[in-house]
Amino acid sequence: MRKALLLLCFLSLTDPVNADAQCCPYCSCGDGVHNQCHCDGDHRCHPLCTCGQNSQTELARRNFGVSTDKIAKSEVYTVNGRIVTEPAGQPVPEDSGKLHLTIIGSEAERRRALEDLATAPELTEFRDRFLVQDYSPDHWAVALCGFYTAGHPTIYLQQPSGKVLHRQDDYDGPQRLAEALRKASSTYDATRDPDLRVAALDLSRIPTPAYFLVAGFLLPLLFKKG
Amino acid sequence: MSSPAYHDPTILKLALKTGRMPSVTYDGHDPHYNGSIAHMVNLIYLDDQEACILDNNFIDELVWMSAREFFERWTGDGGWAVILLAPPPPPPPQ
Repeated sequence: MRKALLLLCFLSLTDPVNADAQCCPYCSCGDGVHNQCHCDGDHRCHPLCTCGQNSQTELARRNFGVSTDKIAKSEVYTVNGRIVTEPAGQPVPEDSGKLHLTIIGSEAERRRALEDLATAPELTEFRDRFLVQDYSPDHWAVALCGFYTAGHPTIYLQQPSGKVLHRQDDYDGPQRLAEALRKASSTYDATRDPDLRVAALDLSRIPTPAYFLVAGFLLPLLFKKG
Repeated sequence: MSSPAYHDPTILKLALKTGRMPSVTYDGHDPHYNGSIAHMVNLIYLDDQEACILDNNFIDELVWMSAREFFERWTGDGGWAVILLAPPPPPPPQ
C-alpha cells in the first residue's frame, strides 16, 4: 500500500501534461525549443509567461532592460520623433530602381567620401540618385557577400540586380569620382535590364516599327527584277 | 488602429521588393511549433501564392508556406511588422 502511494505521488509530480495545462498563451513550452515546463511558482520558462502566482504583479515589477520613462503614457504615432495623427500612407520608400553606391573602408576613409557626397559641388547631381551605404571592411554585409574590401576605400556602384557598373579601390577626390559615376550611371538604362525568364526570341516583345523596318528591306528584294 | 492599411501585406511586399527584410509577428503552427507561440521572425519572400520565413531559432533552414498560411500566422500574433526605412544593404556584386 505504501509503495502504491509513493508511486502515485511520483507520477503526479512528473506529469508534463498536467504542467503544460497550467501554462498561459504566452508560454513557449510547446514551441519545440522549450520542452520542459518550469511554470511552478516564481519560475517561468518564458519572460512573458504569466502562469505563476501573482504573475501580473511580478511581470509588472520585473524589467529586462526597457526604459519605461521613454514609453508614452498613451498610444501615439510618431515619424522621426514628430507626433502625427495617424500612420503615414506609404512609409516604405519605393527605391527599388535606384543604383547602390557603397563605400568600404576605415572610418576616416569613409567619412571623407561621404562628406564630399554631401557637400562637394562636383557631386551635387548624384545626391538622392543613389542608395548610399558605407561599411567597415569586416562588416557582414560586405565581408560575407563577395565584395572586395581591401581598398582605401573601395567604392562600388551597382545596379539593383547587383551588376557592378563601377569600382575603384581608392578615392582621389570628388572630381574623379563624379566623372566615373557620370559615365557609369549614364550607360545604365533600367528598361534594358534583362529578364532571363523570357525566351531569347519572343515575337510579342518586338515593337511594331521593327516589323515595318524589316518589311521595308525585304519587299524591294522580292520585287527586284533580274 | 483604424487605418485601412491594417493587416495589409502590401507593405511587406514593398519592403521585400526594395531589399528590406521585414520582421513580422508569427504565432507558430508550423513544423517547428505545434501550437500557438508569441514570436517574431524575418520574412524572406512573399507573393500571392507563397511565403518564406527565417526563424532565429532555426537559422539553418528556411520555412516555406502558402501565402494564406503566412497571413494567418502573421495576424494570429498581432499582424504587425518592423521595417527599417534606411537604405537596404547592397546586393551581392555580380
